[in-house]
Amino acid sequence: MDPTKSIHVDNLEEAHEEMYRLGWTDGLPAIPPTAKLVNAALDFLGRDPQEVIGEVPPKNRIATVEKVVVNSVMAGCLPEYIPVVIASIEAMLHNEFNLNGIQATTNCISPLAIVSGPVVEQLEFNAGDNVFGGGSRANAAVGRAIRLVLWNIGGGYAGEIDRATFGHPGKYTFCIAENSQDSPWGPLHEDMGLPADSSGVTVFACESPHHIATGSGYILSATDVLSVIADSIATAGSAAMNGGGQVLLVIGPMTAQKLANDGYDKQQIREELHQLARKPVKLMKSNKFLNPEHPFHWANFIDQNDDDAMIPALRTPEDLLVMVAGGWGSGSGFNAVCHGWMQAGGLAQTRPIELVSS
Amino acid sequence: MPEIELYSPVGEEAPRATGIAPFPELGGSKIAFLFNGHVSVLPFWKNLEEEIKTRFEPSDTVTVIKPNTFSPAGPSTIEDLADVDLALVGVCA
Repeated sequence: MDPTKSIHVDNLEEAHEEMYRLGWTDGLPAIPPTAKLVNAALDFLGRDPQEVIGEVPPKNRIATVEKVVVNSVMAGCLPEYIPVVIASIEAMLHNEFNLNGIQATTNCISPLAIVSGPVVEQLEFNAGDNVFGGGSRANAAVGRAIRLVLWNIGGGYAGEIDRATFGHPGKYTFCIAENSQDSPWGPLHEDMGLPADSSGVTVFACESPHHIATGSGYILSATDVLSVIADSIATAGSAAMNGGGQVLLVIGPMTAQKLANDGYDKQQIREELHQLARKPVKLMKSNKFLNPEHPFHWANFIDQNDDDAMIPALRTPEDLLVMVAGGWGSGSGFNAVCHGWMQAGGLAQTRPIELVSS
Repeated sequence: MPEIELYSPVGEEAPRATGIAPFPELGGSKIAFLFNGHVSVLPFWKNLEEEIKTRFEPSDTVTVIKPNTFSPAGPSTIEDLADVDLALVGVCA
């Protein structure tokens, strides 16, 4: 039987079991991709079903519009969401994202999709409380569709080609939105080269979010807040300390307001955290994750015999991605940091989102 | 006849060139050793290189470390290896 061809079942109960038997899902149930649902979504998009988006590694199977739609239907996407899914896939296929490595590595990372701009409100993405959690169909379904594309088209099957030692909860779904309403700064997609008033999706392969409670957002100094965040960025054993690459800082609205009131813009935050987020050689030389000859090793730019020299987790200020999301909280500044995958891949890529006009 | 048609989410494999080049004679040839430099295989890889040099007596060897495990070497690395007769590729994670 050709696994790429459609199948026929008698009823929905049988459909669910067949989808499991055929390996179409990673364990969670999915919406049966009936011809009716798939064709309705294709009609909405108005694109050639056989149009090729690209080849998805590691199996290098072809992502046509139709195959992406099928996976999006399975994920519970409304047809309106699918341009976001397609833009995310196009972004992940950029060479610098190294999707082949992301799909196979023993490290525990997963592509995070960050939606920003007017589309957040138009499609009702959640950018506030529980931004990484449940409660929003748009966040959940778009993230789930991306995962199913990586599974069914890319063939990144857990336990086979995907050798992640611990896996990642975001390998079920991993999509957030930027809280522009509560941000004192420009949007993430503007930092990535798109017009500020456009909509975009940024993909970044990263570890699970680490929550950082910085204390009261109102009475601390900006330096106090950034010092606490810096320590979470420069965690010994993190990908950043071991091999550089990017780190995503998701700043909660209260912290963002505090920093902005103290005169900080995003570039100043990057530069100050570049200085603060460091660990000494005497600690890091005991970590043998990479050998000193490796191109990513800190020994390339720090004297490994100087025990007191400080190694920056952020090799450059620009290695820090900064955005605002999440809820306000009730007295403390709450933030999150997501470490990337050294310089090996998963580097942030952004694509514009063009919704289908109805 | 079953009532419900389900579209398959599985993508078709992209066509690839097939065929394996014949294994070259190693004696007197230039051999490249290309691997990802993972710390856990440094002793093994060093011994492997020495063994090949001793056993096959290549005219020249070059060692290249690529920066990660699972991805193909980049275009510039491949260009650097353009004049070798055989590249021995290894990875470890």
